Amino acid sequence: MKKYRLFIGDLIVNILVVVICLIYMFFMFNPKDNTDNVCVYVGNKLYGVFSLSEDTEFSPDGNKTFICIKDKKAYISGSDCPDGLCKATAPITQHSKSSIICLPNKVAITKMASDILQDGGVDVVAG
Amino acid sequence: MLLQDKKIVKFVQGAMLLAFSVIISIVEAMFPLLFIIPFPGVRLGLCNIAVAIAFYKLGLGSALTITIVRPVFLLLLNGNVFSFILSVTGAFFSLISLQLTKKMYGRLFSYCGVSCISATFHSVGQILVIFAITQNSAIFSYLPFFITASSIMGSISGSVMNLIIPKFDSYFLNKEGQRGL
Repeated sequence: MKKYRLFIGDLIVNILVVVICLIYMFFMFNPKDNTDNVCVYVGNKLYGVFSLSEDTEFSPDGNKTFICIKDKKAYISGSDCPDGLCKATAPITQHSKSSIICLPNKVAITKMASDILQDGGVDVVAG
Repeated sequence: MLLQDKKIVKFVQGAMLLAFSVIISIVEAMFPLLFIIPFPGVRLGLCNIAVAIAFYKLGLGSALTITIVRPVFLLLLNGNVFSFILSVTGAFFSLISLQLTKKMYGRLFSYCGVSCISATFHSVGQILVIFAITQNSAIFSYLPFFITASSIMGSISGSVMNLIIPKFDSYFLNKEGQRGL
């Protein structure tokens, strides 16, 4: 019976992939880039910009997805999507640079880039 | 062995691999890894073992058939269209990576490395299709987590393949149309 052994290339590929991802994450989660605002998109259109400091709960897509901002965290509190992965995703906080996406309902919550605020490119809307 | 018999043997073996991949997909979905890896959407990906075995032992055609038919079966079972789209796209990208690394297998990589690359391509393909649907670049913030998790899971499934495929070598036909290596 032929035996299959591991090659050095297997180890190199694994290490390379993990290292590249760690470098990407290091640059992505830059602690200097803290902003208190999140953008809510429905499809590719901006629904609104909300502050993490103000607690609120709303549905941007006609009661299919419910977004909750509470205790400086933004998360999807309810959704009619079959998988519910959006509800299981970790909340967005002031220091995180992640995003939450509900694919079936095409709703996305992202952090607003601080350079947009500095340039005054977008009017901040709450609610 | 007659040419007709070879085709029948390949067909039956492909069907068995397809059944194996469907069953594994259903069982995998029952045990989410959310408690081990705190990131939604991560799965072990053991069903891709069937695709890889079909690719190396039966050829590209059988692997392509499993790639297309398995998500269709799952769509008929659970009716989740987005899951179907993601599954098909990921499987296609995975198959492309298998074809690209075909010559490197046995020289640079074993099934472990090939499976790691295949899983990475799988994740990238799924991220791209999500971007195409949502038109929102925020999904790319998930990319490093998906790729890290998928490369680890791919290595695990590749190691499983390294262990189990030798035991089934005698069942598959070699280039001369005879059973065994």
